[in-house]
Amino acid sequence: MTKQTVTFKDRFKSYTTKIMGFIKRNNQSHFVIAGILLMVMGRLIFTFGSVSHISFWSEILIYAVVALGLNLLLGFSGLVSLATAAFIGMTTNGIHLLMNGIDAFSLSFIPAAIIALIFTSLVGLLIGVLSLKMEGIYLAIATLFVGHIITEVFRAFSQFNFGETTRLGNSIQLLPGVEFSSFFPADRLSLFNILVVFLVLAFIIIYNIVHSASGRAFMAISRSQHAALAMGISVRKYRLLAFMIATAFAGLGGIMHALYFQTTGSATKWGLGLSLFILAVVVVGGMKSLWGMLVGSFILFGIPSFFLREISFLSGFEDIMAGLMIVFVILFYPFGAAMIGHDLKKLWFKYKTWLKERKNAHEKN
Amino acid sequence: MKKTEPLLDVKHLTMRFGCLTAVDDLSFTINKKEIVGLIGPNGAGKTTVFNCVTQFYKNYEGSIHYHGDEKLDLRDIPVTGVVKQGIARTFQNIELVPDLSILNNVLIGGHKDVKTNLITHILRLPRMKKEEKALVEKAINILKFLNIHHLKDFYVMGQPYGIMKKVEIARALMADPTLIVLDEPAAGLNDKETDELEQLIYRVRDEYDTTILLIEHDMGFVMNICDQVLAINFGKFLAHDTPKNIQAHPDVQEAYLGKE
Repeated sequence: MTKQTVTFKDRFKSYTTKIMGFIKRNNQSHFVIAGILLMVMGRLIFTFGSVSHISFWSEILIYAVVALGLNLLLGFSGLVSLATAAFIGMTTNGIHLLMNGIDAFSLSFIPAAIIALIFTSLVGLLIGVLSLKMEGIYLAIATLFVGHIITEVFRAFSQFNFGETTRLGNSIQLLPGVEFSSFFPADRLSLFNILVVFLVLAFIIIYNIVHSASGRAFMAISRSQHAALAMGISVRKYRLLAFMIATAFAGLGGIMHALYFQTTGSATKWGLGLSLFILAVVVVGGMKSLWGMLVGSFILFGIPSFFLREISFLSGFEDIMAGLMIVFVILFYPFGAAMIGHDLKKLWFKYKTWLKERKNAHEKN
Repeated sequence: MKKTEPLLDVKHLTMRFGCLTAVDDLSFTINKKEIVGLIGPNGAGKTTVFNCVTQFYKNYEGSIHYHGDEKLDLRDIPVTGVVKQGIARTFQNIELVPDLSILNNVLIGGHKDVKTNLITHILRLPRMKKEEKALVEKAINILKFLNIHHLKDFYVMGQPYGIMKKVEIARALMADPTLIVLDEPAAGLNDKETDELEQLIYRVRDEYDTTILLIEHDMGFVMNICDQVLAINFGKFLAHDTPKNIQAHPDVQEAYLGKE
């Protein structure tokens, strides 16, 4: 009897050590664990909280994905784009156009999303050509006006409802004859869970890019262009690639937005303001940090939306408080909010050594 | 007398920036397995010669021929293709990625051997893992060779100057060079480090079977280490000879010390 329990324990132990070893060896699995936690959290909010909170969280996830793409551009490749939000809008409007904007297409969601994503990425590639000619503030201004042009196009044409937000349809038809509701319960929670899957995929893709020869090339072209050239790294190729990936991630954000909110979003929403906010996510979260994008997105889009709104005496001042908070985060964490985790770790080690010292002192006595 | 085979053949090289002629009708030949020093007072056009050889500047006059596997005109090769022909260089001002580990900086030098593309990297296919493993192994061997293996996981940022210089050499070695072009390798090093660098350069030549072309201001270092010294002034050829003869050469003395 006792022997059996021991073997069970041993087996359990060996399994856990195996799993822990796998987690330690594969950093990608951390993102999957975070995704599972987010799903659990979504379930809890859905059961105990209000549906609107799920929507706020979905926005956080969407902008975290977009920021991950922008981070590759800004943090790793040293380039800047102020047209990020416009590219999100381009994808949502593209999906709308392909689904019900023009009768000749009337595609279902998945093909429409894929075509819109590819189109947006190609436009991003085209904008990347600008980065071959200019850098820094000049590139920022040029992309600012690219974004401006895109939103003005939404306002100019009836197909885009003159820049007003449009509903994509009452039910999502994934493929011809395949309804969304035939697979998943058609509620906000299942949509949220799909967004979490997108986020985890985005994390893993960016992680894999950064920790590869391509990632090194992105760093090389931004930190020392001459060395990159001398080592056979084509600055042109990697700049274009960086722009294309960043735009593709903005497009992915657009797909997520279209899927969850089932609207295109207005031209005003996809303006410069949001682009700057996404830029702020990258800076507040920490350039070159991947987790920082989720943290930064939470700080910028999450905290003003629901935490401050719950505090009654702050009503009406949420955005001001949020702004102040962001200023403080930048003041104390210039390398990004991702460093908060670093500091917590430091505190934990301090606590551990303090415990050890106390124990040692105790034993001496 | 050892057999000499030309490796780099520069003929009538002229490089103009506007109305300034940085290099003026310069011709020289570098033989295989030599250590050649390029000297000259400040502004003599030494780095410009390097930039022409490594194709950073394309609009030079004259010709630069390179006898790698076959004889070729370097002008036909894009700047990113030069390293594939076996010419690797270091820089006067350190050109490393400060926020990458030393190992990763060295791996950048192996970029020409990266055959996998972005999609393979995103999906982490076994092909990419295999390639990465081989590159890391090679990089670690080079770091061991340079005695900086213990620092491989540290950021370049904040390392002493001598270490950064070594990382640059390691990155150049990563590209399997037949010709290494060193731009002021001893600048900013103390005497002990300079002596160490001297031994290192001999070892690089012998063990990696390379030819070395270097710019240096430290005359003691140049005269010690080089088989041949090429002296230029105001972009013009002064002398190309053994260190001993160069020291006695009246034109070189004039360029450095002035006319009596």
